Amino acid sequence: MEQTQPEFRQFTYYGKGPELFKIYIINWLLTIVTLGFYYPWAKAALLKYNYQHTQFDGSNFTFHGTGKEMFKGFLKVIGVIVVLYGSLLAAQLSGNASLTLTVILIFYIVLILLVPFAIHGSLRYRASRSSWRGIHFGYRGDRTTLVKLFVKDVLLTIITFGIYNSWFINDLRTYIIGNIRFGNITFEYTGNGADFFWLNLKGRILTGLSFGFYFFWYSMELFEYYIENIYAQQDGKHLPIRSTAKGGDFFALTIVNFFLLVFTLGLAFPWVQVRTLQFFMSNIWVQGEFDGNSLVQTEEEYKDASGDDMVDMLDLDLL
Amino acid sequence: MNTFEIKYFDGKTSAIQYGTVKLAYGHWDIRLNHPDGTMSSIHWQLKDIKQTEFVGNTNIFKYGDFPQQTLECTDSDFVKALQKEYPNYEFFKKEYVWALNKGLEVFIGITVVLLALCFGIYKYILPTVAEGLALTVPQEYEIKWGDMMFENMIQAPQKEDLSESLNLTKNDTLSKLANQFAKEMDFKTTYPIKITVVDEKVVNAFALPGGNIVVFNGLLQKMKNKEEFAALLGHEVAHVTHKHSLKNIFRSLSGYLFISLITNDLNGVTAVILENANQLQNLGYSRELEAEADASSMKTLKTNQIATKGLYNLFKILEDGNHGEIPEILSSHPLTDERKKFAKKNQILNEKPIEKARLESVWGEIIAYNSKNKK
Ligand SMILES: [Zn+2]
Repeated sequence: MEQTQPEFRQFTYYGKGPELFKIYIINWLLTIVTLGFYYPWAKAALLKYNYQHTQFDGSNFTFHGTGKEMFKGFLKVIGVIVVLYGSLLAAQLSGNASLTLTVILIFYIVLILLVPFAIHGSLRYRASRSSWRGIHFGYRGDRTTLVKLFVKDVLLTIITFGIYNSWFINDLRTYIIGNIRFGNITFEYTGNGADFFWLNLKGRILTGLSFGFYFFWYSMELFEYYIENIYAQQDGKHLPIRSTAKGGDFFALTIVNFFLLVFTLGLAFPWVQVRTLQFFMSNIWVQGEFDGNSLVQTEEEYKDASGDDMVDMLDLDLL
Repeated sequence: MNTFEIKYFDGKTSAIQYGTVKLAYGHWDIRLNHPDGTMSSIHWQLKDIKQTEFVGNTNIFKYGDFPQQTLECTDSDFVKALQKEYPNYEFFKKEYVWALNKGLEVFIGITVVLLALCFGIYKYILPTVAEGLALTVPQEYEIKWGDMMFENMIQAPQKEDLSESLNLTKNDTLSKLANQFAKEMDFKTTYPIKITVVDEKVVNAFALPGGNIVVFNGLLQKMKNKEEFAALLGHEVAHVTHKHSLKNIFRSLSGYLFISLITNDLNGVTAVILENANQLQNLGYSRELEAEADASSMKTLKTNQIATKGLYNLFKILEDGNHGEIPEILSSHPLTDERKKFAKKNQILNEKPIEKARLESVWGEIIAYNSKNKK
């Protein structure tokens, strides 16, 4: 049945506004009633829906995570936050200046260390719970290595007054993407700090000169840079990934979304999300001779969800 | 008719396998057609088939432990057959089946009811609860917090060069006189009232929780009679006695928490809109508190038998001189027409206030000090 192999394969998102609206309303209701404790279940329901409505090569993705798993992680995160802010508050109330200073210092050090911990945990969890045609994703990065890389790059970024940030982001991407597995498909990120730095510099200057208008084109350049530097590899064959997102389209999307939200006081959010996901998914293409039937399960079972909520709490955005 | 076309994934490779499923007693009988023409069969025990959801018109079922097997069926009769064959077995989460079968109108209805409910809670229940909570704060804590805030704002008069930014410089003589003045009045309060006059040209005054009242000398200099000062003190003490700062803080905090809770899962735009609405709401609230303090001040003037026209005159002074840059977080006093109307309506015409020699003499000293130091 699948003899003809097109050169390009596209992602499609076919979620529907009204369905998503129902999910949002149920989530919203239960989250309020439970004073926020339904959050992990709400998130699981949403992820399930979005994964199942994202298609690649005729099959959709599946999210296997459950609210119960994520609830355990959620509790851990709340614990960490209570301890962190509790000690900060206690130190401040003690009125002891040197103690307060020490605690603040520890607070920030712990916070910096928490970020890579959270990224690691989230990637492990999220990847292990994502599958396509029964084949699970996996993240094989090493936590200690990631922490070292993270701390080193944070320090360099501080010393260079933020200039190193471009290299920082690329180092992170290289490490993370290089450690993602999808069955027997491996990934590689080929971006580098210098290119990324100039791209950002140019983008910011032009955005400033154009009174912000260039921002949309700048965003798409960043998206394209990210996507097109990812290479998948299956049995020695390269599968480059391409982006066709245009600044003008992104501009139109953003403007319409903005008005949709403002005029409905945010109630149109599910439709906005559908539009946004459709836009991004339909603009990602995989090039080359991908064989969707020959992936082999390579990952083992993984059980720990604490990283995922940590990433949420720290407001980190991982795609 | 219990046989359906399916797609099957074995969890070991991503290969699509085509075949059929037959609903048998206690298990599903899956037959797969291999590309080489051979066939094989698998049994799925009913108890290990995982609950699942529909995706469009595709029904997806997972089976067993990691790595799970997957079965996809697009036949719309499949779900009906399942219900007929295994009436006691729940393949789909009930709430999801229920939810997805309801029309969009139902959800719009739920949304409207929810929004109305949230609004009702926000508008009527939350403020009462917040004020109730504010009232449970023990007086000694309130006094302690007020003193802490006070110490951060007020500075002793010596280092004048450093004091220009945020800190206010205390005027010792005037503060002492103002406190003597206040002692001669009965405010009917259980709080220790402490008045501090600061050397600023601003025409204003404010009250901190717990009893500290700060009066800017700019306002004092504009006053002509003791009843104006008495009206001002009556108003500020009322803010203290009725715990207005505390109520304000509790109210805006609870409003903020409530909004964060209901927008928890929504988006930034909604949150921003609602938070601004909350601030507007609190502005309206502070008008309410001002009215309460005015009424209280009027009462204080009457019980102390001080001329009630003081309040109206005070408003005129504030109106003329109010170009002050008072920090907005402190209880500032939005001067409105209603407030002036209130003062005018409630003042007693042709009254004969009792002469209070002690009050008059302290006021005289304040006037004398200010005219001597005026350049
Ligand atoms: Zn007031």
